[in-house]
Amino acid sequence: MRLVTTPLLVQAPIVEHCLVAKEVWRLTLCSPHIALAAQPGQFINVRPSSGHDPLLRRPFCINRISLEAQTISILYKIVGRGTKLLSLYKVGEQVDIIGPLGQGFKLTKPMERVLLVAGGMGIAPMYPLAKELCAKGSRVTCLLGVRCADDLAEVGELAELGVKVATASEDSGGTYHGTVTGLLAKTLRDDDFSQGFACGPNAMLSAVKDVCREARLPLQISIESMMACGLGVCLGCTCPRGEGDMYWHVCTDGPVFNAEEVSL
Amino acid sequence: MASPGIMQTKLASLSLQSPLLTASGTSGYGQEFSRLFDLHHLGAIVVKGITLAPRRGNPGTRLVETSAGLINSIGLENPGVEEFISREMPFLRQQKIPAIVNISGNTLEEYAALAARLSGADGVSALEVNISCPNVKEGGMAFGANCESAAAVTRAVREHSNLPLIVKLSPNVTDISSIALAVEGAGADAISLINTILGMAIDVHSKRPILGNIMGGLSGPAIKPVALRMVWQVYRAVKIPIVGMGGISNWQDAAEFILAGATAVAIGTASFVNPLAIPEIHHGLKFYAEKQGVKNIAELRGLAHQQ
Repeated sequence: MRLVTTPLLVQAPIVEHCLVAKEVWRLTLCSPHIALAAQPGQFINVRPSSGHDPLLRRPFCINRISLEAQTISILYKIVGRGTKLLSLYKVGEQVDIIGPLGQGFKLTKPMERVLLVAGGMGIAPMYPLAKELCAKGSRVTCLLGVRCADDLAEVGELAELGVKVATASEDSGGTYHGTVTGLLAKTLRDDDFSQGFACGPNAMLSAVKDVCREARLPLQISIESMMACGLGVCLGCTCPRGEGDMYWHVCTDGPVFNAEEVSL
Repeated sequence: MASPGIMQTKLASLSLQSPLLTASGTSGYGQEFSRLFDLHHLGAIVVKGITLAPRRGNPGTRLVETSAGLINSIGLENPGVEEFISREMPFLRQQKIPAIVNISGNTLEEYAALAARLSGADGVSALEVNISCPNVKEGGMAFGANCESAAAVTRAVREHSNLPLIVKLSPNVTDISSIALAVEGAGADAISLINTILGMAIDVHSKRPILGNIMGGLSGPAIKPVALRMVWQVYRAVKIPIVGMGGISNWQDAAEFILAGATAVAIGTASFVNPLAIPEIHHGLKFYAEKQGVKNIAELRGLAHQQ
């Protein structure tokens, strides 16, 4: 059994930093505390610069957890100044991170047949989730959707875990030509599942939620949000609740929610 | 040999072990940061703004990062005064440092009711009266925008509370000194400044304002020169102590505010970026004071005004 501990601020040395798809990087950091405490679906808050500009930390889902190597990884794409700066870090340098943060995927009840749905960088939390599910004896299928096939990451690694992987690409380079939501609808017509998990942009999650509701498939989603502190202090990362007029705070109530608990 | 009490600070009638406070809205109700560092480096916790009734806060996007800054439009999300007292005060009472409760109202009566209720609550050391929130429609900043309404709020709170009153001023005014004088005259024991500077950002792709509330409050290093200038001006205008804040990120920034006339300083946005900012600034400032050869940090206050 793993220990559940409080988040820690650490200067974590980089042990690996490599390109895993056309514009997708994996950054692997050594932190015994975070590696031991992290659960699939949790995130770390990374400070890309010690200066004032860019100012804030950036939250990233944890993409690998290695108890043996005492490392965790994140997966990212260069989309702005923060990720550009991050991409310049070299192996051996230290990165200022806080983690693990947030509520991960809820894996308490047995799940026999599990469907993972990832859109774009929504692939990031899927590997540690699939690994844990496979270890618990679940049969896992993963659908990956990308705009362009060059962005596909993790396909081989997931297959090695024993996950059945299908890809959707809008440029026809995947096994399915179209969006991951289209692939999801097709998959649900052909097969039965007992639990779904999804991560990706809000518009995609909203569509996935509709398709899963129609198919009566329980769904957990991991959502993305702009954050200032990641600790539940600034109250900036809100997401409307599924019922009533109150908000969740993505950093402490999430980032993983039961799909019906949130209004996307 | 350093004086053991070099950081001890008297703020109105409050005795603080350090001149460093948390800025309201940047440390929640104390528990979140207590998980990351020992709160004993703090002079006092200034809690997230409390209103009479619960507030859900503003819809849509609440945060935008700008150059060396952050614009927020949280909209005073809080559980309301009763829930605050029952749910958050027990933790704050257990801490060995004073809890300063930040209050906001839509009307003078609401400010008065909050002052009365909190003055009767065990563990509240002082009130910070927010007349400067840029993110709520009624009240908030509107009260801080002119001398008469700023004084009226201060009087309303003063009449209903014997606690030390710190009035938090808005920088979104033409003449900060006149507002400071008005609240001093109305019974404020101290002044805190600055609250955030009204700002906005537009998404060039959607061609729409990014924040759900369109405008928000700018904080962070970008506003420090403005905040420092206002502390300087207010120090020359009033006799009551000043809590300086606005973009303080390191001990040098904190020292600048003290030299400009602040008795205490508050750390806000910097704690989001570096949750250890307060203990780090505490140590840096203490070392600086020791190097200056003073027995107490207060000896550095306002030195920049000397001819």
